[in-house]
Amino acid sequence: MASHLLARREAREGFLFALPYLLGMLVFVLLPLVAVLGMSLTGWSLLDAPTFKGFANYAKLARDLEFRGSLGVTAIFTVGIVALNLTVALLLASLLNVRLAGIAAFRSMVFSPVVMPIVAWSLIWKFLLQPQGPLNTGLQHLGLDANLLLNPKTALGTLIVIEVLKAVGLNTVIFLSALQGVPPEQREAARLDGASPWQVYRHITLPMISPTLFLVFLVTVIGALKVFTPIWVLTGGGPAGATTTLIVAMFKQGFTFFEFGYASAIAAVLFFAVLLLTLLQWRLRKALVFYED
Amino acid sequence: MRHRTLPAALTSFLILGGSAGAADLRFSTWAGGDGLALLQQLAQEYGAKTGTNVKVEVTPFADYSRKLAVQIASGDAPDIGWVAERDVPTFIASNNLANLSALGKDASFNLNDFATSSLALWKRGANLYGIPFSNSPLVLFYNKDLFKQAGLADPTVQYAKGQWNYTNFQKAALAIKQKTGSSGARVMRLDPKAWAGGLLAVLWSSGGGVYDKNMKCNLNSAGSLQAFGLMQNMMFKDQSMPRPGDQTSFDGGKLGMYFDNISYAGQLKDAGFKWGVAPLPKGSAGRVTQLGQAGYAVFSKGKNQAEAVNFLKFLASKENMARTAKFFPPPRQSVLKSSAYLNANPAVPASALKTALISQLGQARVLQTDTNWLKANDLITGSLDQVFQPGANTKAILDRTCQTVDGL
Repeated sequence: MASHLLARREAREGFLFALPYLLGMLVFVLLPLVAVLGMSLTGWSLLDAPTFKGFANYAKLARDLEFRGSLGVTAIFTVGIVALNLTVALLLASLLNVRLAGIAAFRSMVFSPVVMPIVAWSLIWKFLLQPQGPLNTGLQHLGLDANLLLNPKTALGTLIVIEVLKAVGLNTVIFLSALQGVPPEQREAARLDGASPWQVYRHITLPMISPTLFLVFLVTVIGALKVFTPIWVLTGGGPAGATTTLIVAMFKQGFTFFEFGYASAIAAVLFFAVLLLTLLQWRLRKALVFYED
Repeated sequence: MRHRTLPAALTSFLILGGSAGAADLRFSTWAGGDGLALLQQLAQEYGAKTGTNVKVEVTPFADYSRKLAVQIASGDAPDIGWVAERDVPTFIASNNLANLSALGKDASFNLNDFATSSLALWKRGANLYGIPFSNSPLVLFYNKDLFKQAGLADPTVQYAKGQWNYTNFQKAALAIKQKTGSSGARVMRLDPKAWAGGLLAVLWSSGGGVYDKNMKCNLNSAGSLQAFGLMQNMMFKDQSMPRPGDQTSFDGGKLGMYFDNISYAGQLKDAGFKWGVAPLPKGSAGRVTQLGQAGYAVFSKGKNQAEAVNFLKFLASKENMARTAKFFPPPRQSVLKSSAYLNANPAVPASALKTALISQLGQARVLQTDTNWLKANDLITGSLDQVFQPGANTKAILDRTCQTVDGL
């Protein structure tokens, strides 16, 4: 009886300790989320009172050419980041997964951009990518009329590379630790059976790290959909809307045009897109991931 | 006991909320440096005179409208503050500015001292929604050293001879580029999003503009295309004008000419070269400079409107506008023409100020916009990114832009 009471009291105290976090989650995450869905049904210019408009904002989204454009930009940006980031991270991790004198220095170098503040990182690139800055003039000497960040044709690709350079270190370290967890005996056994290095990599190493690969894929996709700061600092969504991803379009509608109802509708679309992708990926996990406990 | 203290501590931690000393009036501004110090001084003087405590709240210009809109939406609007030109139509249309037309009947305030054109932006019929404190035409800053090195006559000399036009402006820029290696001229600000400052003067002077008299998009008219053509030639053919995105600034000494408001002179205090101010060049449709404005307004959702109007009268009075005139060209005619104003800045002699600024006010124009301006501005910014590319098909781009702008 006494131990029962004690357990209840401990549970209550545990709950109290968790309460600040729960309240924070409720007030700063869950309630705003519900509020955004509510706001997306209103016309609200922030400067006057909101009025209920039903699904008018969503109907407007369906007709909005800029919104369609930003869906395309978001798709290219996300696919570009995921493809480049995962490929480079896996490649770097495989290269760094050797025992050599000084390898720790290389590992730190690859990781160092991750710890740099994102605005500082973006401003340095903005300086390097001025029309007459070092990178563009370098390319101009090679005979290319390059203005990477201010040309609508090259701006998005440039942003993808800048973002991947910043973030690839983290994925590399995660892959590296996964690679180091692959038992050397299995690879050795495969080699003794006559497998080529590529076959060993493809049929032993990759399946062994597939849980990590899947996790990194998921996190990178969601992360790419949420990238805002470097885009805002480097291009502000320009030139000519070429880098206006969904999240930039949402920010512009809300805080530049003060269309809060419409911005909330974009936010709702983004939210459901991320939710859908996440659910889809969890379904795919069964088909793609091996050796999971 | 021990177990009761924990929830109690938690609760008090969560409830903890400070109530700072409440101000009677909140004044919002984007001023910085000496201009801000003067406003704080004025607020203090007002407090000493009336017993009303004024709190000056500062938000940087880039975030200013955003912060103000959020404050208004959350019921935390300041009582009075600065309003930027770009936001005036939106703020008036959404009924967020108080009507100040009673000032017209106040003899001590003397609203007639303000030129009618300087109030156009703030008026809707008989109603008046703000009082400008800055009425600032663009002037041309030029680097005297670079002009000398390139063997060119100063813009002021060319102006006196009646030869200061865009053709000679382009020639001067090219000569500076070729003979000194520095950039010739920059018309727009460093931030491509602030294109309106500078570009409009070139458009208007060649008969173009953003809107025509009926508020239809005018960016694809013959006059506008001529102006864009000039700038494209200077950027890509002559290479005498830095492209958008380039960070070459006038105060660095590597730029021959630059369009900006006279207050930019404050940033040239420590310049390592000789500089001067001159009127903008003349185009095929005249010499039209752009008038930038900012004003004081009372917010209709503020809590203390009557007192806010009194503070506005104090700030915009003749005596205090004479003091703020050190930073902002005053819309009050009596202050503008006073010798105290003309001789206030030792770096800009009175004669230069008269030629470059006061004599240009007659032909100066304020950009008239409507409530869709924030969206139109974003669209135009996007299309200018395309216009200022080598080999751009300007006409096709701007036809498309005008179609969208008119469809807003």
